[in-house]
Amino acid sequence: MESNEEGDDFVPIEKFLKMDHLEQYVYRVLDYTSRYNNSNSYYYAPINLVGKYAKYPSYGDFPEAYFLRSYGNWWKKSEGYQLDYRPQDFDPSGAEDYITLEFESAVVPRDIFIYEIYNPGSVVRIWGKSLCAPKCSWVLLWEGPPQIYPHKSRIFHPQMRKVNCLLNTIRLEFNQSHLQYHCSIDAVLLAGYQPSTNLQYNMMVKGLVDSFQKKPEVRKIMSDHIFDADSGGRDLFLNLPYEVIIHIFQYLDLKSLSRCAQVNKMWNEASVDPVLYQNLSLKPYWYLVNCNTLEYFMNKSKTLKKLDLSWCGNDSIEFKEFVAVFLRKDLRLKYINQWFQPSMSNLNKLVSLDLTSTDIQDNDLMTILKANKNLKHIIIDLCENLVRLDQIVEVVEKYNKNLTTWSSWKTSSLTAEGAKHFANCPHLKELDLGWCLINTDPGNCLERIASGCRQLKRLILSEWRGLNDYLLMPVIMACKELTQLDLLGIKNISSDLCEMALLMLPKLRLLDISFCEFVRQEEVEIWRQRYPHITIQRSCQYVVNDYLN
Amino acid sequence: MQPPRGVADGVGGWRAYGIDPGEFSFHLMRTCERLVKLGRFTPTNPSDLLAKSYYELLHHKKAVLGSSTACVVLLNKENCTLYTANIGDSGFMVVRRGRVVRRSEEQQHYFNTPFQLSLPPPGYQQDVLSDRPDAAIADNFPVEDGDVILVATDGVFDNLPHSLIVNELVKVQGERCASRLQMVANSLAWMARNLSFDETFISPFAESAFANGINTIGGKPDDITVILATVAI
Amino acid sequence: MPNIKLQSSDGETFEVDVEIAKCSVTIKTMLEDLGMDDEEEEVVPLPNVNSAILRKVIQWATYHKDDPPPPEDDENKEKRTDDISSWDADFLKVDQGTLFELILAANYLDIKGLLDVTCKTVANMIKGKAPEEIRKTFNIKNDFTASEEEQVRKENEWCEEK
Repeated sequence: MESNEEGDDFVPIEKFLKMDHLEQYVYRVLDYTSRYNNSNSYYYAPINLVGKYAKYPSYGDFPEAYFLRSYGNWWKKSEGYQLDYRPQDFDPSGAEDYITLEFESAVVPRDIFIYEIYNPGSVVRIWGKSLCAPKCSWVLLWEGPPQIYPHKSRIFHPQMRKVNCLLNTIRLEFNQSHLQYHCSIDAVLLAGYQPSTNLQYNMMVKGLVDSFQKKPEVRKIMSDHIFDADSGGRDLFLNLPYEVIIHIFQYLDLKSLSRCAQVNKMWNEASVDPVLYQNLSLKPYWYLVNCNTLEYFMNKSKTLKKLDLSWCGNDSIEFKEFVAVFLRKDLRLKYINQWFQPSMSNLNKLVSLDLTSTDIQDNDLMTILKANKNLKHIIIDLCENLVRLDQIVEVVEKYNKNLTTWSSWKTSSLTAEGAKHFANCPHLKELDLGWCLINTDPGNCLERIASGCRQLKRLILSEWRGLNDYLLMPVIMACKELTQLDLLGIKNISSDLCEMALLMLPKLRLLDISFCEFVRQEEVEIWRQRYPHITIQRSCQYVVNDYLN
Repeated sequence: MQPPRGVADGVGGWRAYGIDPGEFSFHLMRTCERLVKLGRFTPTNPSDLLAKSYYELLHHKKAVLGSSTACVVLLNKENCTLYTANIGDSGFMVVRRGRVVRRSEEQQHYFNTPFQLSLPPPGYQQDVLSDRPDAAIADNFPVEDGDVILVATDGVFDNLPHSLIVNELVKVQGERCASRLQMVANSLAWMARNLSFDETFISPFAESAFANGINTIGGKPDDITVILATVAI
Repeated sequence: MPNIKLQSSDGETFEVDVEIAKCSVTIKTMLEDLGMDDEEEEVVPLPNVNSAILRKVIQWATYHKDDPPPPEDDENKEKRTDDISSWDADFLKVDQGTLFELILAANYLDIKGLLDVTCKTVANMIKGKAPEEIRKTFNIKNDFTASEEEQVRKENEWCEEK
């Protein structure tokens, strides 16, 4: 981002007001788009960001730090986890996740220290929420590309823009696509200047102190190939047929479309053509979205096919109505938390459904599944209110014959009996049952699944602690299309089984055998040499005893 | 608000299955500590803290297997009350000017088989004794300034006669100095250890065995953990 | 390799390899439907395209003759505008008149690749500009009344950073 951080006339406010320097750790986590924990567990949870760091300078996979769920491109390669709906609104930083943190006291921010203790380098943006009138809105404090950094813990201290507004809420955006494994953050320290009197504080908040310098343009979406030709005085758009104008407009981001609407009447008419709003993602505009915004789009989206509201606030009623009325093909409501049941009369052509971390209940989900026979991709990770998962799988087996992707990572209530029904979904390509069968006996459900689902490409069986070599062999023998296999935490599997998997699965590209205790690190190193095209994951923990801590 | 104190004693039989018996108890207490640090506990409910910690272990990536007794105590300065939770045969004792005012109850299924929290390997649930966290005995009672609180594993109570323990605790009635408390804690642990190897000594364990129809004598070698504190209000 | 003759609106004829000419679906259909024989000296008239533009179109098609066929309306990939190749970018460094004529030609001749890249180029000229700047760039007359303009501005202010 090109920005003149400080114009010549910018004076940091601490130079003319007497303020106190203050360093503080996170007080509370407000919001996040990625979590590794169940809501009743604190291991790996966002709450670990509160307070001082717990493990730094140790490096590795520790449950006492915040752990992000996805990394690399493995999720993106999956059919069920689709790409952004609006590449026109492409975000050059590629931010995939964010976390919003609150600090106890409002300060004028000057430094931020992010304690990364596993696979660092994924922070790409830092926002702060200004408390000062009139612009009580989000301010971009820092932006930069993902960083390549060696495998050790670090305190990330990027050079932030100097702003003169008070804030106590920070948002970090992450791009983990270059990381080899999960990233983990131990703590965030914010340093800045705090008003030393109530009078100072009130003056700043009311905007009576010149608290805000001119903000540079946040993002310029111009490519290098711009060449603004001269039109010779004629309006050449008058010669273009309407469908060509629409073709041009289809390359525009939502913001440019809004501006086109203001050019003249013809442009206005073209810019609101519903074909331009079939795929809607307000994710890049999260900091601008409110209920008026939704109303604006409600009028345009009569043929809405795909809707992505993942990053937008989710409390308003308008939001719910909006979703309820307009759904056609794809519904993605990750981390919305509070589920609401839309009217089924509109919702029957869904192909893809992503309800990660919502509180949807069994009956509501089954209603949707039964009504949408075309469903191919079903993602219900972290949906903790589902208690009859076996029954749900039976419904899917019966009604959703096209099922290609199923992901119920970290849900409970699935048993081996229920899992067997996946064997009757022959088109299944991706099956994520991580942490689903932790302490129960898997019986022969894998054997059944392996024989029924020959097209399986991705199989996640993290923490299926009842598995052993014998129960896993059928998968290796039958599922020759496998590219990703996750066996994290399965204590009883042997090196022999891993060798067989590496040898006999010709398309394998990712094998996660972290915390498989009977596999030795030396063996892993040998395999890495022998199979360089396969990423073999082994989580590590390098504990550094910091006696001064 | 004082941070809680607790001990956990791993059940030794796991060694035969290739499981380190200390691992479960270690993680149990470590998780309790972390939950307290994050503020995820109710100050008047150490039983709930223990339960949360136990269920948390299921979410650990590394399979933490084994079983353990546990005892957690929590002092609330505002109402001068000690809240306790105990499962198994670890325990606590509160002594006031030489008199025992409260003592935890040993929970045994049968002789030498205490109640225990366990996480067996999958498939072994039927074979392994596993008590639910809500089987813990929760208790609370008023305490006074100067009271001496001992939290210890069964290695202490099995080897040290009651009167010996009380005599030691009397020495630190009202003690504010941490190093003197440490000295007494050390001496309790040292004595328990010595007596545990004494083959002719009629230990409390031996007496209890005799009462159960088992003819044995001598101390009981065991892991010994002592936590000693005084109430300073 | 067999050639075909294309005649522009102003009478000029261009001889072009048949395979290159067939990148235009319009021409391809014409050849197939009208049963034009490759061997005969057939001339395909293109009354909607003048010689200057036709020359450019042929130049583009010749350069791109070995391109793989574009994917079937790949919704996700196509809509980005920062992926114009440098050859295409240079090729399209022309005055607006020519650019728009190329668009019309690509539309009429149904050459998807050329239509996409020319439309992307125009889209890039629109992006990032305020409405008044857009008008200036393309010489567009503002036919809103003052109150209409104000109303439209208000409707669309959601994306303006405050």
